[in-house]
Amino acid sequence: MAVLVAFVPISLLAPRALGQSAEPGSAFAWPQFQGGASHPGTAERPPPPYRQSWSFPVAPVGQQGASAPVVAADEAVVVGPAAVYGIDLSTGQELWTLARTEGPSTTPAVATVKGTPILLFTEGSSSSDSKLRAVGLADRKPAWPAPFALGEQSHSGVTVAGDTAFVGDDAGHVFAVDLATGKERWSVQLNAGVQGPITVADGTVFAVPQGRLAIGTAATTVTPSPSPSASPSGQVIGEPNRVSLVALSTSSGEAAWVVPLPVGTVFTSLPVVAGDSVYLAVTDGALNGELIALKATDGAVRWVHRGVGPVWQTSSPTLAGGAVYVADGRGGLWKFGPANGSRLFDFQFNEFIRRSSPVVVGVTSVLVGLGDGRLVAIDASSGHEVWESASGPGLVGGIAVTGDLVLAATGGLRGGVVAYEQDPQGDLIDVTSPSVADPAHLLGNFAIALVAMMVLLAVPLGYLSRRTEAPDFGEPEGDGDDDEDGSG
Amino acid sequence: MTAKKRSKGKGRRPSQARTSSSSATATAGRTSEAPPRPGLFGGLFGRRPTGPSLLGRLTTALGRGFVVVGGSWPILLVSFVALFGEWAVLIAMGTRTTPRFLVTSMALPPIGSAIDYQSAQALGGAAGIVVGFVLLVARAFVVAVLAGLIIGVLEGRRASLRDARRGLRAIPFVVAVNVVGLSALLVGGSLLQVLGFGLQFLGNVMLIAGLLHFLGFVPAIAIRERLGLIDTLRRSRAAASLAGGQQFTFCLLYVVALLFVLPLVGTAIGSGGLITANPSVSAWLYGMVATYVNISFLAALCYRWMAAEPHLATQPVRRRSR
Repeated sequence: MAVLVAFVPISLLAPRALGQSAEPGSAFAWPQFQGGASHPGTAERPPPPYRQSWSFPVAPVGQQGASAPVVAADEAVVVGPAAVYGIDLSTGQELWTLARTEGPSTTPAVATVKGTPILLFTEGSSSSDSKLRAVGLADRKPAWPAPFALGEQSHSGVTVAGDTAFVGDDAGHVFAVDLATGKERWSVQLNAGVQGPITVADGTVFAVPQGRLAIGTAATTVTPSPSPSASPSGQVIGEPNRVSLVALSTSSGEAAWVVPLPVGTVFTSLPVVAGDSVYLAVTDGALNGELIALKATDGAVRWVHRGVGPVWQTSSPTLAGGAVYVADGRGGLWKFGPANGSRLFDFQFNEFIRRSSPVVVGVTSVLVGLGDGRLVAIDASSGHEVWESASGPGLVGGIAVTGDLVLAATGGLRGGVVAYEQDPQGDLIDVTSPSVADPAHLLGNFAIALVAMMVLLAVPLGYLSRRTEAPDFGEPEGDGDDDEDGSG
Repeated sequence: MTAKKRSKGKGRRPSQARTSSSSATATAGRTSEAPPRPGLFGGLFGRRPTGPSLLGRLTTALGRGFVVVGGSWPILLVSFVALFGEWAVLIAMGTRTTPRFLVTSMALPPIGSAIDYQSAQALGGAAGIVVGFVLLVARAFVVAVLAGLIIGVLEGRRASLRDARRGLRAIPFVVAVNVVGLSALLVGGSLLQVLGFGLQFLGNVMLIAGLLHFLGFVPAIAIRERLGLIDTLRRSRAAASLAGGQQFTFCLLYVVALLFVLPLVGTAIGSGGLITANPSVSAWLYGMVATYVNISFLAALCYRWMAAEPHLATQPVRRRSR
């Protein structure tokens, strides 16, 4: 694909982004997956209701559409199957396109190196052509002497923390790469692949080595990762024959701890770190999920909450306003107390949620994207739905929030990125989750059905029963009246 | 004519209706003939008796089951209220499910107890164990009461409170069936994992049918006869062996109807597929039809036991009316 280069003055890139940042210290509004290396998923504004501002199409290739967008200054960046796109935030027009070797559409990251904004993204679909690339955001010229070669194709996307980029690949390698030079700082070998953006917080890298989830029409299966190759240190990190959560030192890559996840775990969500806890959802073979809170320092389990649906590998819990939010694959958005895992509310949308993670706006609204193309907002205190977009041609995936816009990746043939802005004339709705019992409704429907069934069955079959000559099964002796006084 | 009178005078035995030879067999069996010992799986894989089954035709038992249950408003009422109760408990526990659950909600043990186990497992910890045990006993209570009412009707009366009370004696037996069945499902399910998904699935279906085959008569035996648990289980196995493959076919038919046909019907009519705490009228109707099928199979099992009873008696079955 031809490379379209549009000139964007560097002076326009940084200043306006400082108004709102998901991650403290970042120069950009939403520089990476869920807004930061620890996947915070929070923004101050805009609150709902919204109206669509613009949409930007990204041509899909096979199952691959647009990645979750990231935002740097006045532009949004999204990775498509064969190109990276820069989009003008105010108009939704394409600012530039950068060709990439075809491969999984993974979330890019933007960072600043010596005052210069750079864009990092992965490309390629095999061990020979999979790379991490860094280009200047202004001129799209290579920021490193050569792209960083990965061991296998990558579904992890890029995570930036401080002056280091972290990338994983399907073979289980985790690389820490110097942002300034593109040189490897360290690499480790996990016992399975890394399936989403790596979580980094407080000097620790968190990852869950696991096979890749394939969601088919008949069954959901996990494809095992390629056999781990020998790492430079000869060590393969991860619990053998179990899915495990791995904590590595950001400075050396040494394993701080490895915690095996519950027996029967088939896949997990992405971990999120808040305070001294790590939260992630695990799912078993029957697609029953549970949310687990662990101590970030040693991986000790704090609490487990069962009963949620499967939370896909591309979704992350979010912690905001003293609560943990999780979106499960059956369409449930759950709010838990972070101290003990008590359920505060849930809203069941009855529509799958696969690539979207909850994003909390202004601590009052929780946004999530649904499989039918709707972006929805839930009131964070009542648990009621307060806004929803029209449904679209494909699922809504990753969300990014700037001060004025909510950007959502969309799937399908006409997918891409859709931007919503606050609608001052818009109306909020107030919809209660169908999972909340309404006694009158519940009893009324049951009573109507009961009467109907009694009439439909008891009347004709009672008549038939009386008319039918029944076989004689006498009552055994001793089963008569003596039973009535309790003796028998 | 009152029901009592009908039971004493006009009726006939099911095997009499089909074959005169079985009448003689019945008489002989009641007095002296003990069935050959079938061995552990002999009832399933051993030699089959030739000729018509001593338990009558499957269609006769099923037809009788559907008529007995459908024609008795107390049985229907207890079934449907229990269905509602189970749903209400589930929602109160915070479980999120679809009204498709209503299909298996009133399933016979061990399927019903496996459903309860899953519900309790979702809670986890001590609460899960307590809730699991309560559900186990509650299900046993409902099955025992329904079996008592059904047997009352099969004995020629209108279902009454007295029959319900009589059914209560089956509670510990049904609890035992639940425990045995659930344990077998858990252990068997784990062992079957080595077969891979397809064969494991098939194996689980056969396992459920097999458990129902051996344990399905227990509620009826517990109500009709005053035996200990082991003897009751032996009698149930012996009755199953008496019918051999026909009884297993019957149980397989039930499993297929419950786990495949009814869910397919639900999918086809688009009923009950969404997570909600407040099922629609159509979803309740769908669940009640499924419950009617479940309880009718229970009635058919009771009927088949009562047909088998005289052939299995190690000592003459004392009958008040004879």
